[in-house]
Amino acid sequence: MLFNSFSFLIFFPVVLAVLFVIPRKLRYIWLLVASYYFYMCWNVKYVLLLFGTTAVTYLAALLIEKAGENVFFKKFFAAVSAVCVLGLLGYFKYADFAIDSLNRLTLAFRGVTPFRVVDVLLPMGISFYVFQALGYCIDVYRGDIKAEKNPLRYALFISFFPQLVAGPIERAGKLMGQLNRIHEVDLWDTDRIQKGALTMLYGFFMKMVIADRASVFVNTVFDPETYGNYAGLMYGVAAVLFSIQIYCDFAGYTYIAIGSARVMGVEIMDNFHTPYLSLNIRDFWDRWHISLSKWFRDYLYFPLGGSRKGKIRKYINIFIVFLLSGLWHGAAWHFVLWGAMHGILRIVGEATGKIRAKIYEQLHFKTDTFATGLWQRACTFFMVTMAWVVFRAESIGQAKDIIKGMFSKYNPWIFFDGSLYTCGLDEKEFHVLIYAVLFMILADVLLYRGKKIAEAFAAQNLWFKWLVFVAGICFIAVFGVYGPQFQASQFIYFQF
Amino acid sequence: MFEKIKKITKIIVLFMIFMCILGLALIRLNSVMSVKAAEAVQKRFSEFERDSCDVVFVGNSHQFCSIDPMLLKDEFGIESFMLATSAQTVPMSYYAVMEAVEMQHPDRIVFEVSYCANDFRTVSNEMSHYFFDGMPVGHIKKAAIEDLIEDEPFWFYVPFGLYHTRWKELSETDFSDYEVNERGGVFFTETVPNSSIHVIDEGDMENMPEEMEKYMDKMVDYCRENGVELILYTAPFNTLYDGDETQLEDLERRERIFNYVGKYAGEKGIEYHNLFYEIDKLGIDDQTDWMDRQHLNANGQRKFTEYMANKGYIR
Repeated sequence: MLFNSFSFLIFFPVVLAVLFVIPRKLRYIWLLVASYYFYMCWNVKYVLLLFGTTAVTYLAALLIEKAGENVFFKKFFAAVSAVCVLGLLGYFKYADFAIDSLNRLTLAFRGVTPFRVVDVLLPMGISFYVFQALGYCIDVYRGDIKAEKNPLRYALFISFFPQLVAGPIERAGKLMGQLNRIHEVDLWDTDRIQKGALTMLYGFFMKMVIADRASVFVNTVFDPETYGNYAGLMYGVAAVLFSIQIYCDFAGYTYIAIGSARVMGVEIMDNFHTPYLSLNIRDFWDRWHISLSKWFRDYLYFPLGGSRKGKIRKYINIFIVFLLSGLWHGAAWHFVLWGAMHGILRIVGEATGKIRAKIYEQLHFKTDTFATGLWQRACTFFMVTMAWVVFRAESIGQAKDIIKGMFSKYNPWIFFDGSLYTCGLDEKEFHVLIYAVLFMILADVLLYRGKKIAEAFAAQNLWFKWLVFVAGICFIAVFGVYGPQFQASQFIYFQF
Repeated sequence: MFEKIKKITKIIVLFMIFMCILGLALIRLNSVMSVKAAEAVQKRFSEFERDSCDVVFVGNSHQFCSIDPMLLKDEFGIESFMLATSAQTVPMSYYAVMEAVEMQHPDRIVFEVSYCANDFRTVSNEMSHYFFDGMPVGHIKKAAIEDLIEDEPFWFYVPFGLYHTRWKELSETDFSDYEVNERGGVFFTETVPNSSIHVIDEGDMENMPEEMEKYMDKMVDYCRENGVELILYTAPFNTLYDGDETQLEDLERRERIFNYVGKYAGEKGIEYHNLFYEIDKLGIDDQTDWMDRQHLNANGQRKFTEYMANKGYIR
């Protein structure tokens, strides 16, 4: 079930209505039922994977805790759970990738392709719930949290529907505590409901008005069959629009998730914080997909030694994290390359930081001015966008062609002769996109400056809030991209 | 406790008021964005006084360009409604018959059969909206959509999904009410000179497509079961272009099927009039009575309607 589908428009109010009227003690059970139904709407059989992951990590956590001071057993049970859930992820997500890569190798050296691909359907959201479950086991292993005794409560933590299929990857310490206390929540808190609804509305705006509109242009230009017909700035525009699309798609999903959870009395962590206003790549990763960055930091980077074992080791650790982050995003070499690019940019940024500071000092270059900030943001956006081209392309070859093509022809006339409007978006559609993006930038700038938009909204008079909701819903109904002939476009991050 | 109940009641009441306001806004938005011409006839039919029609017409554009229900009422006292819509295929006409029987239970249903020669259930998804958009949601609409629409049937219940993209083409007329003839009739004032219509020998026949015959059978049975007389007729029309051999062959094929419909009607014991063989008597002037080569204009429609009524084909 997609958030931007009519099924969700029926599902969510029904879940809410029942949640509001049932006895408080049954709330978590109802949410568990709703979450499993939500997942089963996509594929009934694959709910077994969700159940299996839950069962394995639930038992493993109990056994890890029971092992107490016995390090061997603690490690053993932690390892078993990790092997099981990562094995599941490996089989469903990476088996075909590994087989295909081996076949390519053997084809190159021996002229044969000895292995048959498994050809399995990638279970929706598997990367997210596997990481969430694994994080829970590691937290129990480290003694940071107690193992949950109630299997239903634990199952709800893994399957809680707002964040089940595309995160944020929550920590047990935060989410499970809230879900365990869901019976204490005053559901009739109108301020919280309004803030949640506004967050959802903004998420729908980002997804349906911006992301899905930008995707029309992006899909046309990146089409593997026809991308050769374009050149120069047309690729540039497509690359920038993909940067906007993937942000609005993923952040839009997250806002809907955060908003819907908030309406039900649960606070989910922020997964984005104005990433395109970042000053450098490190800053970008502190603002983009925050829950994944933190997961990798806590469960991979720190155990690898982090920055405690010298500079070279630190850079190696950073690179490993980014390579795996790339692989987490998709089972293809261009995702790995995308991760490597970010890793290299991050390392170069770190390694040259002191030198750059010294040069600025020598040149009496002011680094705290608006213009410098703008320049740094533009440079960061440029680097991130180039990396997104590799991410979006169907293959490394296509990415290379597009990046090369971007700089091989200078054709600024596309902005004036109408050729920009031949890639699926006509002039009026482009105008809507531009105005919507400007609105989003304004909201991002306010958030960057620490303005609490949802709080400010909740403090307004009722008539104004109603006006915003009615106008917002009507606006999305008219300018959203949906309807027949439009593939209820999945959120990009579901595939991860 | 009392305070809490008061608070909850207040929230529920406010929420309901909000939903009403939102509902009104969405209804207004829908009325602006919808293609009013597409939903007009079905909508008007659903609003028409129940059981007040003697005759209901079903079929496609040939039907609504040929018959004027207002004229039938004014000059012949026949209470009728034109439920024909653009690109209404035979399967759609079957469901239109069901609709007509359920809402009006007329004495007669008059079906113009020119689409019997087409072997398709729908012309296109877009054209199907002309049949479905104004149709009230109910078991007939559900059955028709399930039967005929394979591609994204959901949007036939919620056509706003299709029309919301019309924001780019909105004009003044979209913000005003659409005027529709009270009996669903349509007429066109344009005039395009036509050439004489080629007519084949009455004995030449070709079976109608199997599936169309299946739906014809269903239509005949349904009318019989409900005690409604079904009258079939074919309104004459010309080739799309003049002097095109392929077009002429196609017209001849169609005419052979229309002749077969005569045989079929005879076997079923129902009335059928093939007006291709009465062209001379219709009094249609090729220079003044056509809006294009296949459809009559208002002049032709008047002559045709009068002929049909005077001959007792419509009664």
